[in-house]
Amino acid sequence: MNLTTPPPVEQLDPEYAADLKQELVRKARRQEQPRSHRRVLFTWVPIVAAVTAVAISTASVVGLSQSRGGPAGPAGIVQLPADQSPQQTLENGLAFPPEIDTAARECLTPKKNAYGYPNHLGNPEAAKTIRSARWIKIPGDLPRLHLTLVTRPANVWYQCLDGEFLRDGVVLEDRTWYNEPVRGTWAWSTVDGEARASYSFRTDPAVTRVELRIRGTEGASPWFWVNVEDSSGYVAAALPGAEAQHGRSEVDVRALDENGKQVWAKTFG
Amino acid sequence: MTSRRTDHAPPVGGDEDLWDALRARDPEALGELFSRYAGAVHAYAVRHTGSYAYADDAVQATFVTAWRQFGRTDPGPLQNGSAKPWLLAIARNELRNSTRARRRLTQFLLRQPAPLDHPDHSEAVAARVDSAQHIRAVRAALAALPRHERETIELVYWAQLSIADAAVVLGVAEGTVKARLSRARRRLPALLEENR
Repeated sequence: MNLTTPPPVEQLDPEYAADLKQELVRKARRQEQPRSHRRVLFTWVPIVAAVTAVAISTASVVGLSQSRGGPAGPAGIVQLPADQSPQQTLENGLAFPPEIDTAARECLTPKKNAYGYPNHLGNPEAAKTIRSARWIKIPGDLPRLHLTLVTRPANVWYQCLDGEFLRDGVVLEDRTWYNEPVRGTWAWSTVDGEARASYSFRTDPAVTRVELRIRGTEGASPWFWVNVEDSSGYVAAALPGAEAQHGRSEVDVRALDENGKQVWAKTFG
Repeated sequence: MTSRRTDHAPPVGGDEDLWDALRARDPEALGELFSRYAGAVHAYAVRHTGSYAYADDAVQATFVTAWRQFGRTDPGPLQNGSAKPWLLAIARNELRNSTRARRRLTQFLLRQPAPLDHPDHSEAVAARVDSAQHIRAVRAALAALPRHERETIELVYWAQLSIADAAVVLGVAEGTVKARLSRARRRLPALLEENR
């Protein structure tokens, strides 16, 4: 008996394997079907919502122009043209090695998710190349260290904020497979009586700057902006007196190219 | 007729395209993942449990969980070009969960009256029982090793993962895997003598 040789194992019964495979795929398809229907529904919801919003907005504007003379959104959220909000940078300087090393190690250490599985397959001991490291001001909070790195030899790209893993992916060079020039994750919350929102993202190489603002019922924040480095970044905003709640606030995010031309925009909330 | 073969090596070529399709929730990709790795997961489960019946359940549970994983959170890009270590990590968790349940069932059955014995003498069943007995004998030899060393042997020698991939499955550094193998190899000659 040699324990380093795999004990022989009968192959999985082909008939059982074929049945099991068929069953797995069938169940997976069934799970996806309602999702597809929902997708179709969700495709229509924004269109219907947009048409309704335009109708309500028109009625509101007409109504308000007759009474108060100022524009307002369908749910009382301020509607403000993009070029009427002031701009404010969140750039807070470069980060340096001791801080970078600590944050990189922490970020590359997998944490268990709610299901007990690691949130990524990184390894804090892995060799790595730091691609960008800078401090970002966070309105209403302390600055945070935004970091991107690539591990070797696996060549996996990581984005981290204050040592927290945000996302990973393949290394993008001069091309992108995204359908949109910006792809990211947004979040918001109400803290100490103010609405706070953030957006972490990866971008097309043409994007050089990303901006975010919050519009509430009483007003709007400036456009808070960051430069795009290593085709990625993190931007945040705060609006005192506003609530991070559907119908009470909205979050605008937009991307600009090197000529300051807006190349992408989205509203969340 | 039952032929006894060791599990086949995974197909040459990476799983990147398959992985991307799974991230896009393509059910056909799950079928392809199954075709590529059901054999490897099954062999790992048989060697881990010494039971073909439990292994069949583990294969099903592993691929169901794998599909759910893609639905819950994006597992990110594929590591080292192969989905095998990721699947074996899921299989390992599933086997751990089922081991606890089996232990409870065994304790329950031990308290019941002995059942009537109806052995099946067909060639296929006899061969399978023989194989299971052989695996249990090998596992008995391994039983003297600490669990972490046993698992390392199962993954590196039996499931034929690279040191790096085994480290991913076990959640430890590559150096730790090497050290465990080295310690286990030092102890193996004595273990083999004791179990002859």
